[in-house]
Amino acid sequence: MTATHTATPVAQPATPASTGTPARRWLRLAGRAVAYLLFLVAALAALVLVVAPLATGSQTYTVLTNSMAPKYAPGTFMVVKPTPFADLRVGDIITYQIASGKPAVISHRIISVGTTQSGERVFTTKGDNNSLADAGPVHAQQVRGKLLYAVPYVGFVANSLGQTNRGAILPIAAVGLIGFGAFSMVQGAWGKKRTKKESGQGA
Amino acid sequence: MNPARSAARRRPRRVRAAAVVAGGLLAAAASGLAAGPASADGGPAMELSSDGTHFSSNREPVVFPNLSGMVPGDFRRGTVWVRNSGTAPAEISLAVTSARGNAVLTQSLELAAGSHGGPAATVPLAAPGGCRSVFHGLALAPGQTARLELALGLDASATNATRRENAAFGLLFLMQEAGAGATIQACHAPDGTAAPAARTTLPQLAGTSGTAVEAGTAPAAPEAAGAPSGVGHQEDPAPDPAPHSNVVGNDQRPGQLLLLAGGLFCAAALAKRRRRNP
Repeated sequence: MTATHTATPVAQPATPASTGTPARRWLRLAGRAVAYLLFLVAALAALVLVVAPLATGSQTYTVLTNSMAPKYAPGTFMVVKPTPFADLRVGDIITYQIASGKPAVISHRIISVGTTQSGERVFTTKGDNNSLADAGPVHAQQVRGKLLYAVPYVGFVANSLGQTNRGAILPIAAVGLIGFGAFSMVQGAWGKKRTKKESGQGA
Repeated sequence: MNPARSAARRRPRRVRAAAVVAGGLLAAAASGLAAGPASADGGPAMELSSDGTHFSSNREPVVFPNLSGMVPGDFRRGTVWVRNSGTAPAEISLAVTSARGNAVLTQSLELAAGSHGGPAATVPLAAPGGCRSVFHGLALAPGQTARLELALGLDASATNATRRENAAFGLLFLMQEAGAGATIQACHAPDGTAAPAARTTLPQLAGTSGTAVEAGTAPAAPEAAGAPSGVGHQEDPAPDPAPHSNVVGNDQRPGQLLLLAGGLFCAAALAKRRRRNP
């Protein structure tokens, strides 16, 4: 018994991936991979630099000097979370006001715990890269928080975006993203409508 | 015999005790005192005593029972015991703060402090509102007590401007954990400047020197401060450079939120478009 099989050519619908030369296909794939990678980086950056500080009620700082180098070199982005004074220990990195109630702050490591004659707990702090401890004891009312985590290099970018004279960059970027999203939605809806129309005409 | 003291005895009537002797007592500035030992994690805890027997961590002892009627060249002695009641080795620092009163009188006063085998020094008092470190780095083992001998003297060359004037000063003790590789001075307030004694954030108002001084005939008395044994004169310390900020805050919260919202919207729009047009 013999069986015959007749191959019938079937017209396959063209998909974006299957169109064009192999080189174009590879280019398209590479572009998509890069886009995914960029999206992943952006999501991670948003998580680490924006979402986590907001969620934990932390304040972010940028390191300006070498006093905490090499681990926290200039440009390091520091996330400092408000922490009860009693929970702070030797080895913690704290951010404290130089003058109580004023914005200038220092981020240094606690190297010693002390007490005043009235029983008040105070800390001695020092920059990791400094040979001398900070001159005065740090009191509870000076402490803004404890270092939660730090991200190297990105601090200057974050800081420059937050400067007063460049304060419009973030809102403009946000509006741009929202506009691009809206444009994409409209374009997608319009494309779908056109496809339907074309398929209706074809039938 | 001490010439300063003999001069003081020669002129008893000239010394007016009319000035307010608000003290000389290391006043119990209880209103500014915080409670209890400092550290809950076994850190240092300091206790002070004026008799070597009764120690307290929240009550300031009387160190100078009587400081009224001082004349140029005169000096008064005082003693205070400091105990490390914590569980870790610690170091003691002492500073003297000038609270209020006549500036000339204040700056004519000297404080000497020392202990056997420990650091010792004599320092002139700073101008009212100022602070001066006396010594730092006196080591105390856990449970150990140090007896500090203090002497407050009025410079024999004090001028007439100090007559019938008053001055107030405070003693500021600071204990810190030993072995940190660095010793801080007690003379720093939270704002990074010298600590005036009246500050409420750093309750160090420990003594009031009410003095009435008749000047102009005081003989030279270089040992006016009655320095305890082993006490040397300390150079006026140069003020510490003001500390500089090493970080700057990134104040961009509203912008960040907006950017985040924009990014989320954009991502959602792209995802929706992708579903519609696969």
